[in-house]
Amino acid sequence: MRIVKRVLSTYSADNFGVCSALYELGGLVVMHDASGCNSTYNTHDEPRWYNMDSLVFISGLTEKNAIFGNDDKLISDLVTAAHEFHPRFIAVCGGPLPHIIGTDFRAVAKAVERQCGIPTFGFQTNGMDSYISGAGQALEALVSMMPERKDDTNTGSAKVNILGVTPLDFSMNGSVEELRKLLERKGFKVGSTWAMGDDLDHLLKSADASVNLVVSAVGLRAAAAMEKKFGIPYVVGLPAGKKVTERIADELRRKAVCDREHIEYAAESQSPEQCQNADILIIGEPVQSLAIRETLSVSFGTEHTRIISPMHGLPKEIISLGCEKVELEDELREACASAKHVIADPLYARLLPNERDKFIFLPHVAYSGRYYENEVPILIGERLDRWIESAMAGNL
Amino acid sequence: MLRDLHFPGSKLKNEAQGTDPGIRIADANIKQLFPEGLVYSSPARGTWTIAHTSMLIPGSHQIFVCPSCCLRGVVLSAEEMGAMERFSMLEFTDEHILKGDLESMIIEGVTEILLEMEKKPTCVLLYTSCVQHFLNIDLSLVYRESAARFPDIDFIDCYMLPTMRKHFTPEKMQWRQLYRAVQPLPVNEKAVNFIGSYYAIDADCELYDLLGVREEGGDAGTGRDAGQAVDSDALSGDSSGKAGFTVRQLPTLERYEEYKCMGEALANIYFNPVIKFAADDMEKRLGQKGIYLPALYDFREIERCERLLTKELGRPIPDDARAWFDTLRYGAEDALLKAKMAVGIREIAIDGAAVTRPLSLAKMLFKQGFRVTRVYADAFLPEETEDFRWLAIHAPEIRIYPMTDSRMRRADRKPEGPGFVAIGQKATYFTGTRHFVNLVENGGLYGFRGIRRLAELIEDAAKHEKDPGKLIQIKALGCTENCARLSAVMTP
Repeated sequence: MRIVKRVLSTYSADNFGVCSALYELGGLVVMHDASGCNSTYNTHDEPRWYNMDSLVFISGLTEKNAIFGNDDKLISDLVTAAHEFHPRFIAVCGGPLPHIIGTDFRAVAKAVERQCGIPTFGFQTNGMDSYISGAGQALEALVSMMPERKDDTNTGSAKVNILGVTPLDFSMNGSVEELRKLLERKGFKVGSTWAMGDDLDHLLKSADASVNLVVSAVGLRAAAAMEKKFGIPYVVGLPAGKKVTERIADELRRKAVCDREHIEYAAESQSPEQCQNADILIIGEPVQSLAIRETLSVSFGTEHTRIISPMHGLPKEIISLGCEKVELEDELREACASAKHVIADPLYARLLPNERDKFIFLPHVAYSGRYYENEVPILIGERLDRWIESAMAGNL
Repeated sequence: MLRDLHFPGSKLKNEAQGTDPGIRIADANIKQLFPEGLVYSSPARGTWTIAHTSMLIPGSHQIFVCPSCCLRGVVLSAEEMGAMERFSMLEFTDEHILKGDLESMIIEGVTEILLEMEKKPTCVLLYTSCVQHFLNIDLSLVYRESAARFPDIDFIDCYMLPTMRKHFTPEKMQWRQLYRAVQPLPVNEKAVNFIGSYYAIDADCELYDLLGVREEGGDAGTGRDAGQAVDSDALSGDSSGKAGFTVRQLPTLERYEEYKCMGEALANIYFNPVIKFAADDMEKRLGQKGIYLPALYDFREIERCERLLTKELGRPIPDDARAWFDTLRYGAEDALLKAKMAVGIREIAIDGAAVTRPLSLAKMLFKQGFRVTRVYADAFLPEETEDFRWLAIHAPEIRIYPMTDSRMRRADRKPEGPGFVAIGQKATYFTGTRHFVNLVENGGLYGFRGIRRLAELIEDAAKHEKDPGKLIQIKALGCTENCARLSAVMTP
């Protein structure tokens, strides 16, 4: 129901999410579509494009091949490129038109894998769902590449994988490095980071971790897959805010040692009714928003905070924690109007041009792309507390 | 920092593997330069998209009807150019497709958007995308009904159909539609339009002299030497003193009324063969003659084209105007000489996004003594064939490189040698140079003075470094400034 957008933007799409998640891993990643998707992705959603090589391409789908359903051209081009580049894996996904004509990407992937012997994944993206869905599928697929553990190599030590980092949610501002350092300071050994600043071999060997930390909704599917395949429990939460960080660290330790059967969400669920009269509204990525809400609650005494995550294709478990999915522009305007403060990407301030003062800007690359990229704050650990203090003092 | 990632079995430099995507021009086939395969998009972003071009119509408003991934590029482009208030969208999902009510969804959505606007736009450019076309929805109903609900607003049906680019490139279709709200008016024998250029034709260009535009005060700020000014009436043999033409072109219009006045022009002058589609459409609808002035770099040909233009417009240049052309030519050659001195032994790389006739430019620079070694282009216009053959014989070692071939992702971007001076953003990126002419789509340069200006830019590029990382990643070079200009004009 995302029809009229008079003033707002749109979230990064699922096919871009696939590319973003796999960008640094040495794979050949191809969007099957005409042409525009590629430049949109690497202009607005891919801050690494200029300085870091990656094999992300578009197939250049034509009218003729679409009408005749000629997948052979796609398969042939993928195989040719595989011989040229020798990628570690191949991933193919689609935009809206292949979705309409029913391109079977899993079948395409099988054909390619048979011909070139390189692990190949097909993702049924449609260019309509959000990046969370696409990036989630991509990281989940990597789990299938991880070799089975021959024995229980888990030593019980607190080794943590970080799941769900892409520039779409974490920018390139040093947040990921900060996250790793923070966990190390808390006594954890960081296994792998899915998937920024790490390499494929490292990721594939990370089944020896004792616990996974899901820091964005993007990481949920991979965490669930690793829980199923290797029995690695996971905690969902972004270590942002001093007390939330402590709580997550405690949960990670507990999961690392015992209670390995369960999944933990480092946030209290909140019903929509509790949020009706909330003074503060957060619009954004759900796991980050939950961390902000918890910090506002436990460190700043804010009783109720409403969270809206307008991304299409949000996992159900996230919605159940109290992240509402509101997509209509009018309803979003109404929600902003009824809140005293709105923490959101700067583009949302366009909803209420006469009330810009109530907005606390938290730029989100997955929403406003590269435009506010340099203004994305690092919110890891105690930095979130300081950021909130600064916001309360009217300095943001 | 260029980071080589984890590609075992492969190296960053394709050339080291013997798979350099470049080919010697002597070995190339102009009809099929490179195989069609996966497509790469380099970070050089200066070319304009349909969302940028549409902003050239004063007071217009764009509405895009697409799925989110198609919308994202255009909406963020609008934000970057500071023109979000002139942009809206209808984002549809699977639900709408399955319901089968896309027609009413678009009509009602457009209505809602326009009713909410306090100040109505002059013109609405309503874009549909590949999906609606493949679903075969009743687009004529959509456009007809939307327009009927707002009779005071001009509606233009526009199309974002990259899938159909083999028939109509988005650029070709876009330029035709952009003039569709221009309606027939009584012919003004002293009015012409320059059509199909993202940039105003440089104020210093001799075309304005030939058309006598300067006498109407159009040369403010051109910086042209007073000594070079010409009497256009004398040049044309017209002693009536009424020779001056009014020239209209989208990049300089300030009001929508001026856009509508384009309907009175005697002729449409264009510089890129892609624009023929638009010119033919205007000839058919408005009875305006289309005159093609190819943006080439051959002095003799330029003179021939300019003489032809004046003849077509009924004010032929007398044969004894030889001295005037010679002066223009000497001006260009002087500037080229200075540029050559500044470039020294460095190589020249040219790309096909900077100029529409890269081979014509390569030939001219080669003849002037520059070391032209690389041309980046996925294909050449058929009208480049003669220059292609000439270069294949006289400069066979020039290498042609693709711009979007997937192999270019790993092409050597730090070539050995004395360094490059690049003309165009893609040539800049691929040669890794900091000495470059930041030029897109001819940049409004045409003719003798266009060459002179280009030579000055080459000289400047040779002498001064620029940061390509900052400059070439800006989308649609010059568009933001144009939007700001229009915004300033239209804000009361």
